[in-house]
Amino acid sequence: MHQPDPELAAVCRPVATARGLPNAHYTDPATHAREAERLFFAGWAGLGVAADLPAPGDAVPVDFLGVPLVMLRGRDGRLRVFQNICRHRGMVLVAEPRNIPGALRCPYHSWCYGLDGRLVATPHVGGPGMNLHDAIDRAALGLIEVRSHIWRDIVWINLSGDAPEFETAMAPALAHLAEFEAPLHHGGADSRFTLEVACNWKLAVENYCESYHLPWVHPGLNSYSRLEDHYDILAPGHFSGQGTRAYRPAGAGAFPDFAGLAPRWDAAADYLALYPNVLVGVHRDHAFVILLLPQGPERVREEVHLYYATPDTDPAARAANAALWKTVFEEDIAVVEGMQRGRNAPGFDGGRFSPAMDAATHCFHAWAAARLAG
Amino acid sequence: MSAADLDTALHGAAARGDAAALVGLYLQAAAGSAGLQAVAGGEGRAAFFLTQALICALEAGDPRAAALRARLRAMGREA
Repeated sequence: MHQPDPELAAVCRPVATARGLPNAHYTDPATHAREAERLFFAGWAGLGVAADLPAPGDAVPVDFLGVPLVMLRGRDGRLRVFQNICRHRGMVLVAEPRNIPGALRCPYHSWCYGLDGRLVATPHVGGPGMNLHDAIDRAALGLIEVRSHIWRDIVWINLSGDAPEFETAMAPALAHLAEFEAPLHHGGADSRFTLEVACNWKLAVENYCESYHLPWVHPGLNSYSRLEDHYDILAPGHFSGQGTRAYRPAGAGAFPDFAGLAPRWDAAADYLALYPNVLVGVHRDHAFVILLLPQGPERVREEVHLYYATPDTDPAARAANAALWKTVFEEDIAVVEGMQRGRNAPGFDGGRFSPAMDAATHCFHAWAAARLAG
Repeated sequence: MSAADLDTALHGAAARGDAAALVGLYLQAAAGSAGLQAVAGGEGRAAFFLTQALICALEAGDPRAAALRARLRAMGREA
């Protein structure tokens, strides 16, 4: 008979009495592997952004929690995700981002694949100069495609292949951000940056989705965005975060607003952690996404991309906006890395939440614990 | 072109990543082998080089790929 894990059960209690996830969820490789299966592979997770593959033939490999994947832009313009391995000997096909002018050739024995995944050539497979063999059915040996969906320029994948349809699984998030369903224009090279952080990926989520730390870690916000200007956003089982009623565009008027927004967005902004690994920020004049790509239990890569309502925004203003956000996100590194080191303290019980201030973090923990316990 | 010169040229084109040149050189090699068809293995040697040319052309998106595939198909060596 299944015995409920008492530590995970404690996480799922009401916030006033709950504990956070215990140390193993931040340091233990076996627990990390279980989280990969239950929290990342079983549902929809963020892999990359479509803006990184603007042209047919563009290929971007991604190590997704140890699984080699590749995003490919086909000649038909469609972006697909495949396992980044040859069906012959399992060789990794694409080592670095690049454009593929023709077929995708395995660097080992040169089996070739179309950008739609079809196996199109098997040189010498039947002996020198003989490219056919009865045992090799090309139609059955195409690249293994991973279920994918693009929303808000994010390439979402469901590695297990059996999650509900994206629109069903993500319905609460789609509804919450419906007002921002407008064309997004990536700001380009000046609107992306990557942070390599020595912490478990969940600490990045936890820190992002609560406002409690803002006055202490981001003192620059105190002058205009007071703690009491913030509110919690809670969608149990799906996402959580925080918002502000005191958003002021930096360099007011530098960027055109997204069309059709309600008046409340004149001074509001929402910051959502879409479980497991996509952090989104929406403002009237720009948006951003942070993809969290775990690099083992104690490291995470944060890929940040900024978007605008039009394709022709001022480069200097874009660069300044990216620099502003980079400063904010870098201010968070010391605390998330400090919490990571703290997870090596024997007997730390996962900590206690502020019922008033930590609801978004608890919401995330409860989601993770429920999925891990099931 | 002698076999040694061909070998040198193939190495050079491969080092430069010059797919178009590789396709041409493999076609030359195949043509040279075609004359050997009367001897044992001559067709196989030509098919080998045509296959090398085909793969280089496929990877590069070289339009010669279609004709190369057709030649090999006619030889019963490609789908």
